[in-house]
Amino acid sequence: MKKIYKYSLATIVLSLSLVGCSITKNNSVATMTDDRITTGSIKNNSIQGSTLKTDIKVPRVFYFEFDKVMLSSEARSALRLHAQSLRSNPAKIRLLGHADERGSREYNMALGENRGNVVRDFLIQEGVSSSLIEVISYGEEKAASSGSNEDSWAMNRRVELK
Amino acid sequence: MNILFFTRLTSLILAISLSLILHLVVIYFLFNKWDEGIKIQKVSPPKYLQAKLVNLDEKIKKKIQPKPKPKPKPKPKPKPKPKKNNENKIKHKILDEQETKSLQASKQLELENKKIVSSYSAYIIERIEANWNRPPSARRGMESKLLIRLVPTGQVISVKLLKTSGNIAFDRSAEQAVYKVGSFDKLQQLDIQTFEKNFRKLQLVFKPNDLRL
Amino acid sequence: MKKINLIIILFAFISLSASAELSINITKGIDNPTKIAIAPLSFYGNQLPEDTSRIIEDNLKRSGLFDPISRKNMLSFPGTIKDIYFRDWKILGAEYLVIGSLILSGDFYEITYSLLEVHSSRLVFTKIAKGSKRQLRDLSHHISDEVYEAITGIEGAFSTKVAYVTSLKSNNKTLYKLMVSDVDGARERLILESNHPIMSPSWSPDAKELVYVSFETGRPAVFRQNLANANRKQLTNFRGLNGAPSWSPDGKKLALVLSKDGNPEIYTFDLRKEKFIRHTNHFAIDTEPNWAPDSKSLVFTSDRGGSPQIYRLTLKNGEVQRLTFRGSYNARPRLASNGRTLVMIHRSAHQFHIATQDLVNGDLRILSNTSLDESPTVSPNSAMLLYATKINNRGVLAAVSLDAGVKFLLPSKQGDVREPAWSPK
Repeated sequence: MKKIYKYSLATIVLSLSLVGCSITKNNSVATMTDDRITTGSIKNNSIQGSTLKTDIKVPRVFYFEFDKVMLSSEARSALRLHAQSLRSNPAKIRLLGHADERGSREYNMALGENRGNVVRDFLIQEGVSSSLIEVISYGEEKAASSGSNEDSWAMNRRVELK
Repeated sequence: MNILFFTRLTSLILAISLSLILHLVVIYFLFNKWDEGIKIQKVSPPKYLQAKLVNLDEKIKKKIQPKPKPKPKPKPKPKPKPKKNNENKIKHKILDEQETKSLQASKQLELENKKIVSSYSAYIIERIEANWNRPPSARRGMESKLLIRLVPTGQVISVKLLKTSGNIAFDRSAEQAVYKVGSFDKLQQLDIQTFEKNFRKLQLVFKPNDLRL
Repeated sequence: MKKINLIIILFAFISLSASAELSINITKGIDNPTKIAIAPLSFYGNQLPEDTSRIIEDNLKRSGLFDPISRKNMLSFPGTIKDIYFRDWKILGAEYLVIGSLILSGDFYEITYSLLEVHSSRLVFTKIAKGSKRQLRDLSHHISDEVYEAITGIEGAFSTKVAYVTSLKSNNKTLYKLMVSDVDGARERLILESNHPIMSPSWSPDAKELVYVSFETGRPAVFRQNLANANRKQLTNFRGLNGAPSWSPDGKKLALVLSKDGNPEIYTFDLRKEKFIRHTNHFAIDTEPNWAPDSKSLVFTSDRGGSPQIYRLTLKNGEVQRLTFRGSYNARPRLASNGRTLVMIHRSAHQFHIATQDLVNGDLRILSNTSLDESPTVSPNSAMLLYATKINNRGVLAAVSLDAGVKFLLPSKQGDVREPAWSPK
């Protein structure tokens, strides 16, 4: 009889304590954590201006057809004049490559660079020293025209000589 | 926390005692009010009197086979007519004819019965599928089994999860589908025997075959 | 006589009930958004700074999986379980009910909230959440997460953030800003402001830092910034492309694109050792790397096959495997945290859409119906997707749920918005 008493008491106590456990679980409180955000700042960098001596009337922007990296004949004539000027008056120049907005942004950065490289290679072919040239791509980040149509897109597929 | 704990305990004790009382009531009715029970068995819609009873007997016969109990005894009670026949040969002939007729009739009725069961099953499926909202975590291959209990009005009186799919949200969505239907009203048109046999308590297996993932 | 009949019929009942019940198979469903009622939070005292229940309703609705009951149709506003009269909610067609009550406990708000099944009158859970007075929005998002998870089986993502870039043109000058806001667009915070373009933000796995590309030095470079104290560090300074930084899920490395060796290639950068390792070696454009959840492989864009397609690079052995085969332009890959959904920009019929490809069964689905889509980013629970697109000539952000197909536009802000990046937590 005593054994039965002990066992039943044990089971009762055990089951009661289990009930107690589930209650504590339901009562656990979720506390929100804080998230602070501060604004960053940029050191002012001045980017050097162009010292290219070619006549200002000679085009400094060259356009490309969609999905093409070929230079037009107008571009070639203009670039020959620039090459001449750079051979006689070496100046550091930057070729800024751009793409139209369609498609992915970083892939467009690579397309812009491709176009810049095409112009660079042409100038080097024309005798300009490669150390004078830096190609920087802006991808679709600096659109010349903001529309979403063929005309705007054509205006944005370009390389600027600075 | 202590207060919560004790209220839980008292409600637990209440629930157990209530359940015990209800069980005792059922057992009391089961044993003491037996005559009324049997009488209810007898009072079935007149047009089914002969055939249905034959059916029942057949079924009971089949079920009782494993248990060695006197078979013909239930027969004399519901079937008063054959008892009155006294000439043996004529009696046997007529009995044989009647038996083959009733056998044919019962087979046909079994077929009809199956049709009825499957048409009401289709109704149940249609109602549940129109209300089953699967969670986005549902995947092909998941399966939940529910045991549901109905009353002859079609109302769902209990839903129990027999087998989990392993995904709580999926199980819950199955239960919710049944709760949302609430009542399979068309079952009211079903005769009580077929209802009792097939639809008082039934299993629902939720196993989607139309999921994309 | 009666006794024997009694026994027989008893056996009959036993054997009848012992026989298998009718078993019915349910194989289809309807998958409509779950109708849920969020009863307005009950509390004493002054007006609260935020409408908690409204925030929860909006969160759940935006997920595409819920259809909240309109408050003006509600017949009662129960604050505790004993105040609930389930018939009021059954009438409205609600499947679930959320109720809550708020008390002020010192300097903190404490909300006790419950989720209930309306048709079965069952309690799903009762929980408590606590936060400072400024954190009422966070509490609303937290409750949304808990309710969402209990019903869908998927972890909620309402407490996460999104980083994005805005640009505003005025007087021929453009001002670029890197911002972080709640996923619903609230609480916009300025991370960086510049006169030069900012691109490609990517979160650290602990959601405390961002890496991004800035043109402030005159050429694109990758920067790292701590959000809390705004400490910034320039990580790359090469000529050519320095772009598409992606923080590994284990927090140790960045994957990025550099063209310093002649053409765009994929590199990894060890953040601790500050060392670069090159992983691709092909004259084509290889860019836009993104980590797999196990930090062992990268998906990236390459046009080595003639046009942009998506490939997988296994870091251990440098093996490259092509993943996309449909269409002539697939770029900007993102692998969802489930490891099997590949999200990308996919061109079909000259239109750029966001599409998903299931890496297990190969299914390709176009998700967006806008046509100049870019920069998809996936929520940490793989349920939703944000991307940038153009509507009426303005850059806006749009969201689409990966399963439910629900789409909506985010509230528009000043200027053009683009390049969303969903925080990992």
